[in-house]
Amino acid sequence: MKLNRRQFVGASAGIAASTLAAPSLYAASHGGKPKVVVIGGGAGGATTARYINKDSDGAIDVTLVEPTRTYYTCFFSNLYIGGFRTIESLAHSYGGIASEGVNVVHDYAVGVDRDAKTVTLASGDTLMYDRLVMSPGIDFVDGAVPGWDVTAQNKMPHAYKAGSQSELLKAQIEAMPEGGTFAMVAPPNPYRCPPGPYERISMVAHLLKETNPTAKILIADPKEKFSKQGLFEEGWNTHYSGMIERIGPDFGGNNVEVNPDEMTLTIDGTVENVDVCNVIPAMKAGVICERAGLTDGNWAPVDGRTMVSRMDENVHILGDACAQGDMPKSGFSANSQAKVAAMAVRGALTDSKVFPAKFSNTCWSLIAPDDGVKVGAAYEANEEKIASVDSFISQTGEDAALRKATYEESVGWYEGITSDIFG
Amino acid sequence: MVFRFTVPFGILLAGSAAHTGAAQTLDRLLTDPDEIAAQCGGQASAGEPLFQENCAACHSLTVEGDQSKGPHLAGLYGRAAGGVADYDYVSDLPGRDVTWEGDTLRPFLSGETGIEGHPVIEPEQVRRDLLTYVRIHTRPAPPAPEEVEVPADVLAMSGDAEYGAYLAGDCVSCHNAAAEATGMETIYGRGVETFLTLMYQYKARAIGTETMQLYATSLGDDEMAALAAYFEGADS
Ligand SMILES: Cc1cc2nc3c(=O)[nH]c(=O)nc-3n(C[C@H](O)[C@H](O)[C@H](O)COP(=O)(O)OP(=O)(O)OC[C@H]3O[C@@H](n4cnc5c(N)ncnc54)[C@H](O)[C@@H]3O)c2cc1C
Repeated sequence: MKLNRRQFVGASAGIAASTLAAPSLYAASHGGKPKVVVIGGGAGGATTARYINKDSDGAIDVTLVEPTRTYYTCFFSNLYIGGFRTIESLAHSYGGIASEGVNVVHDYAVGVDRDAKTVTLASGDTLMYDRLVMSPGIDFVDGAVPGWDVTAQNKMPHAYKAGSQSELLKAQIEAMPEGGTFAMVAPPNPYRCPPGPYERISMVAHLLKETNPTAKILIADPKEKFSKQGLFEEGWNTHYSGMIERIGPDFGGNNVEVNPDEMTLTIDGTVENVDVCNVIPAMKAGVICERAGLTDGNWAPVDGRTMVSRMDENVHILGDACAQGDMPKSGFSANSQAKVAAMAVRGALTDSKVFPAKFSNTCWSLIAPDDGVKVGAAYEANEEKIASVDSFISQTGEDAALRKATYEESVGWYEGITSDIFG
Repeated sequence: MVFRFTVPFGILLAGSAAHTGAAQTLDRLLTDPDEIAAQCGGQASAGEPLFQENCAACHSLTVEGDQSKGPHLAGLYGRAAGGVADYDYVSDLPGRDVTWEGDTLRPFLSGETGIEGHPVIEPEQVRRDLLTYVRIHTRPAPPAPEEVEVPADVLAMSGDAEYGAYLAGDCVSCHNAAAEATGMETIYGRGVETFLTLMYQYKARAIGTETMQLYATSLGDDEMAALAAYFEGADS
């Protein structure tokens, strides 16, 4: 039997005397508790699965679908490249979430049948849901950088999904000839982690300053300006003077082509021979969103008050994949949105209360040892979007003690948030 | 940096009506961001990118900032025009008898009373958003922690712990046992009064980092009370 919202509302009104009305209906529909399937065990998905499971005290059956057994956080992966973290320190397993009672399935979702309310996995299995949560992160837009596609990612890594890509990029930088060139093709807006490419440039510069001080860094950037620009440029002048050259759109930074076999980067017709080429292409929602028919353009639009899809009231989409309004695509944002999604899902499937959504985000970036900066904002949701209500940003010229404290705060944040995500 | 609103120079209008603003009733010492936003008629979040784009290259918001291109803006509201002692003014600003506040800054930024070479910011709402951001970030020095008091009616509120449990989600992302070793404090089991006092101190900027100050500022009294009720009763 297919249970749509109208039938659900009518039926529960008929047996309103019983507080178990909602759960018993699900029991009638497919034998047992209401079922939630979460696609993607990253910052958004793992947090949502944990919070629904924990706060519903076992009243909701939660299944988390995630292909990898070890999740490497993108956050702090630039610090790994700079030599401030080990790759192991970025690795998180799903043992904690599973032991709390979430059913963790290591598989890849290949399709969503929204009428039947089922998710099909690569293994061929199907999972039924009453509510679906999707936090699949990002994929790259095909053809965004002429000459590059994912088959070239071993020659020209993106390192914008962490793990082996991060290790590869670091190894390539370490293998650069003396005085060689590291190039980055920076992405157009919107993309995950707005300061991410520029924190990476800082970390690459730090690594090269220690090991290969005559090396050069070249950025081809399609954007006129970028996140925390004043802070990064101040830091680059102070710490890495003369090493970094950024070519913006006025000089053709938006007109690039790469040749992974020849290791060339062509900027506005001028061919550059480079030793490492970090291509960060334009991004879109993880492809499963498109397959489920939940995207409009590159992203999946949602109502920020509940993180529910604008196209299907039984599907919540969060994190990088969704288009929600003013929040940057960050791990902090995804974790904050997860709590709103978890509350909304519990409210829909059990009788728990739903409160007005509130969100926070802070993005820290490390420019050089103990030189941390941050930008943050508080948000509320209205029917149109998630809207920024107040914000702050580090200032240029801050003293060293404040910058060090900012970096130390980010280290605390990392430990805290990864434990909040993975248990 | 590109000045989107730049025109070659502003027009000098010394002695215009806007300059006789000494009798303004604006409370120059406002510290509450919401009150500042209401007073300035703008939105700080809209003003931040405007500031980065149009002002940050020359003006720092703090006294420690670089003054090689322009004077810092710390304590701008209530300050005399041309009044930064360690800045070497080339314009006629120090000679004008003007105190900076909304009614003198807006005509300055519109070019009506501007100085040569200074960007003109248009239109009015953009000026208001920009000034809201600047004013919030240059407001007077915060009080000492012991001067901050939680109003009695807030202390007496009975917070909704269930609401607090939801709101706490954003707190415990950082403040949990795993992060304790890094110096991040856990806050489970905090008493209501201690909790509220800390929140009020953050909001007044008497203690803490900008992350916490912003978070506390984003909370209404009912939300603080809800969080306080939840954390008092929660042990993990
Ligand atoms: C270099 C870099 C630095 C960053 N630094 C920061 C930082 O300092 N602070 C910060 O807050 N954020 C940072 N971020 C951003 C942050 O990593 C992302 O915003 C965050 O991970 C988004 O969470 P998510 O849940 O949307 O996606 P992800 O965390 O990417 O999780 C998506 C998960 O879904 C899985 N998945 C995808 N498709 C499917 C499918 N079909 N079936 C099943 N599973 C699927 C993937 O395997 C993945 O595990 C950084 C990012 C980068 C690249």
